[in-house]
Amino acid sequence: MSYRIKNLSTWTFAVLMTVSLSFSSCGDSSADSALTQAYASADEKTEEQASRVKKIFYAIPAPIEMVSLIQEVGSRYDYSLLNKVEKRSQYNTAKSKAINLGIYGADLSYTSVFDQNQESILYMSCAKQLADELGVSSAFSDETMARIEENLDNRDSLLHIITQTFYELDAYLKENDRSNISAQVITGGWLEGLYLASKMVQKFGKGNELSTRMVDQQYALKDLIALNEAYNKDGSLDEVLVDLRSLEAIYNEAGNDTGSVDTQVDKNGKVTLGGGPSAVMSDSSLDRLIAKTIEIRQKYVM
Amino acid sequence: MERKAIIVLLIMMLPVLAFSQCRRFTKVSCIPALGEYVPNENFNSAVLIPGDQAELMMTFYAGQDYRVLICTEDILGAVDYTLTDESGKKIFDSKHMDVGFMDFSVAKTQQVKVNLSVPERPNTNQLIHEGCATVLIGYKEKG
Repeated sequence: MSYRIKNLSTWTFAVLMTVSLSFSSCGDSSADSALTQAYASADEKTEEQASRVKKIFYAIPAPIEMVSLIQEVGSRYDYSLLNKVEKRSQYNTAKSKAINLGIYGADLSYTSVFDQNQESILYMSCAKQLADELGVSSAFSDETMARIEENLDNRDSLLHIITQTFYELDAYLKENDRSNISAQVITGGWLEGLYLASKMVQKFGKGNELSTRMVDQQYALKDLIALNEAYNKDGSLDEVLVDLRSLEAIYNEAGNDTGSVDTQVDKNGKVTLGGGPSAVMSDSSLDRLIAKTIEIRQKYVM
Repeated sequence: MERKAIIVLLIMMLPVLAFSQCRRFTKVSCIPALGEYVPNENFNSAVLIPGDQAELMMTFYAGQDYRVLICTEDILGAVDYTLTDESGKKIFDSKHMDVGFMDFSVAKTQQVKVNLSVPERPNTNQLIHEGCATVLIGYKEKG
C-alpha cells in the first residue's frame, strides 16, 4: 500500500516518500497510513491520472501445458529429444543463457511429467546454474532445491514447485528491469514445447490432438511477438523477433475462421468456453512449421 | 551532501521497492488462492491507482480447466474485471458475481482478454491511493 502525492518540492517529496517507505516496508496492507496530508491541486491530480497509459500484459502458456498433452496422447518418454545437459557450459552470452534457461525449464517439465526423477534433478541443476550466471539465484534457492528433492515422487507437487520457481524467476527479472531477459526465457520455454510437439508429430503423424495444439500455437505466438516487441527497448530481442516472425509467416499461410466464443453453463454452474475462431493449416504448411521450429531450436541450443 | 545522496538513492529505488512489494504481495496473498491449479509462469503485476486500466492477453487451450484470478490490494477497493473474446464479446463480468476469480473449461482453444479497471473514488484529501494488482492464470488437466 502506498500513496502518490503531487506538487511537492523535491526535498519535501523525498522526505515524505522516505517516511512512506518506512511504512510500506512493514507489509501492512490495510488502508490506514501515516501520511494524511498532501498539497496537490485537483487539476494536477487529474492530469497525472490522465497521462497514465493502460498496462498491457501478455501471458504465454507455460511449457508444462504442452508437455502434459504430449504425455496424455500416449507418447513414450524420449530423453534423446531434450537439450543435452553437457551443453550448458557452452552458453556464454546473456542471450544464450536466457533462452536455454527457458529450454532447460521446458525439458525439466517434460522429465517431471514423465516421472523421470534423476533427469529432473539434472535439468533443475542446469537451470539453477544458468540462473546463477544470469544473477537470478534467488528463484532457485537452497530451500527450493530441497523441496524439489523431497517431492520427486509426488508429480503434482513437483510440477507446482517448478512452475512457481519459474514464476519467481520471471517476477525477479521484471522487478529488476530485466524484462528483455524474461522475454528470452519465456521464448525459450515456448519454443522447446513447440519443438517437442514437432518431434512427436513427426513420429506419430498429423491429424491428432498434438498437431491441432501445434496449429493453435498461432495465438500464443502472436502474444509472444507482442511481448518481445514490448521489451525490445535496446534491440537485444531483434534476432529472436526475426525467428518468431518467420514462424508467424508460416501460420499466416494458414486459414483462420472467424467466430465468437460461445459460453455454456451446465446445471452445476460449470462454465465451458466453446465456439470462437478455428485455426486450420494444410499438411504442407505444418511440415514447414515443424522444419522451421527444429531449425530455430537447433540454432539456439547449438 | 551524503544525506542528500542517500535520499536521492531512496527516491531512485522507489519503483523497484513498489514492484518488490507486488512480488511479495502476490506470493503471500494471491498464489495460494489458485488452489490445485498450476500457476502460469508469467508474473503479471503492476502498481495501479484509481482510474487505471490494465489488460492481459492469454491463450487458453482446448481440453483444459483454468482459473483466472484477479488479486488486488485492499486499498484499491473493488476492482472490476471482464473477460472478452477476440471479437470483444463479453464472456464474464465481475459486476455480476462477487468473486475474485473465474473457473472455466475450454472446449476449443481461445484467445481471451482479461480487462481490469480500478474504479475512481471520491477523494477529499488529494491523496492518490496506489496498490498492487495481479492477474494470475492457473491451469489443470480437465477434471
